[in-house]
Amino acid sequence: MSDKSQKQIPSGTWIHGKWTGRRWRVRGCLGVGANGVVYAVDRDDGLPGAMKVCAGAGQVAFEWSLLERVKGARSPFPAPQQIDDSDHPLAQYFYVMERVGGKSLDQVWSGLTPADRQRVLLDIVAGLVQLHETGYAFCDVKAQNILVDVSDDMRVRFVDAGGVTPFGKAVRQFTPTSDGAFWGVCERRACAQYDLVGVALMALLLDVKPPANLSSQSQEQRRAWLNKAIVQAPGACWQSILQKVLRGSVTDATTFAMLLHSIPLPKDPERPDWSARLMWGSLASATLSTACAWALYLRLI
Amino acid sequence: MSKEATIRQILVITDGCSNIGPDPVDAARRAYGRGIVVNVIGIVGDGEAAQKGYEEAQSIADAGGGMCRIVQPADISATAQMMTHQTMQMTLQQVVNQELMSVMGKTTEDLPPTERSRVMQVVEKLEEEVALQLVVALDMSASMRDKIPTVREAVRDLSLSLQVRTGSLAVAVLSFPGKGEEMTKLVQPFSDKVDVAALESALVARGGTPTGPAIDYAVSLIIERRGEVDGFDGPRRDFA
Repeated sequence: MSDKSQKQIPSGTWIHGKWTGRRWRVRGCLGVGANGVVYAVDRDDGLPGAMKVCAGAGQVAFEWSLLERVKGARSPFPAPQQIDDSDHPLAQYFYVMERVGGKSLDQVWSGLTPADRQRVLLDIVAGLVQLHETGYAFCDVKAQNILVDVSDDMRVRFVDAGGVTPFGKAVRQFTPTSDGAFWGVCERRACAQYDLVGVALMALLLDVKPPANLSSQSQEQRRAWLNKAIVQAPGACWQSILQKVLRGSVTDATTFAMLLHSIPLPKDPERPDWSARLMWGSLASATLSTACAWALYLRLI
Repeated sequence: MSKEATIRQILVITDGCSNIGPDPVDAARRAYGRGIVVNVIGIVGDGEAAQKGYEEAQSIADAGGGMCRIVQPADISATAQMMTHQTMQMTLQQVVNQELMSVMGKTTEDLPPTERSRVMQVVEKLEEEVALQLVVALDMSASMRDKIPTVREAVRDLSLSLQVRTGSLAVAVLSFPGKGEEMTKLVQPFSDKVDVAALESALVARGGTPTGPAIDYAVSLIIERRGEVDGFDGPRRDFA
């Protein structure tokens, strides 16, 4: 098995499903992941979707089964639509799921107000509450796998169900920086706590950049850095909650959500309105012209 | 003695081209012939030598029925875990395919996609429960010197992933070259986890890159263990 050069299906191409008899029109590429490509597609009846294409039938079937297992009206994951094969050489095996709007959390985070950040964090944890009820953990918690729809009241959705694992089993897919075991905080076993630690690490590392030599540090060094970083994190009021999560005293998503709920939403800094700006502007220009006039009068310039 | 199904793998982590001993591609082919998958992680370097190294890494993995990835040192850890998981899944899928073929005369691909999902759930369960024998072969040639801490942590990290599986784990670590004239050195014999202390003290970078001899040595370790573990049992379920 080797890396195939990632050729993409051109927009406008129709993909004909062999088993369902449905057709999908490719609108463009949404992203290229470690194990496949995701395209924006429209089904022949106009239903928008996202088509995930993998090299092997097994991987497609596996991810499909994960989506099927965590689906539900309030599931944070995209709803599965169809799984199928086609004769197109770049879409031999694929499945189609709900197309989720929004941008990934790492792209929007810096533009969010503290209140919005807290709301988003709470929504993420609420999504985990839903997921954990099905007996599965997300595992690959990272900012790139969380979409926030700023235009739709900050609606939060999870993408990439590839890491979803039944509670108690070994985690298969994760990202080191959001992985509690990498930091020496918990075991690499799927459970509610593993996901909560992932969220806490992600939230922290969105604000504080980890050291460049992280991968060559021992677990003890990483943990020491973490303890320092959490104290120094810039002014987030959920610091103490993250600390509790990372210490292992919060073990279920509902408790995490309640703790986040209990802190008052920070007030968004008021936008300086235009009249204040006008006032300061005119004051400054008045001062400047007076100074120039005096300077001219005193023949300083 | 339990007749536990076992997956056998070798993971080679290297930053260059082999330059001592037999051809590593032949060694990988011999390993695969004995049901042992060889995965290779190449560490990014620069220049023409690096390019040659990438090509060799890919050829070793192709001959060894495994995967090859060329990565930055910081990504070794995540890559090692991903490759082990994916190649275990591949091996199990082959086994399940063979079973399907013998029972139904069909491969997974011949089934309707929704039924494939059920087959994959079986593969997922097997992957969690199957026993794993893994030999990690670490290139400790002179050029690896500044990457040792990263490699050490990556190996420790890989073992964190494998230890929590339901199936049993036997992991051995060797480095190449060894001391003095020796081509290879056993850092730790088969054990149920990685001995961090042994890693700390044993990893010293020096000399050339005998990748071929390292793969041959890894194979001999696995074969020796196979003899030890099931000396008495008759036909066994063997993967690959």
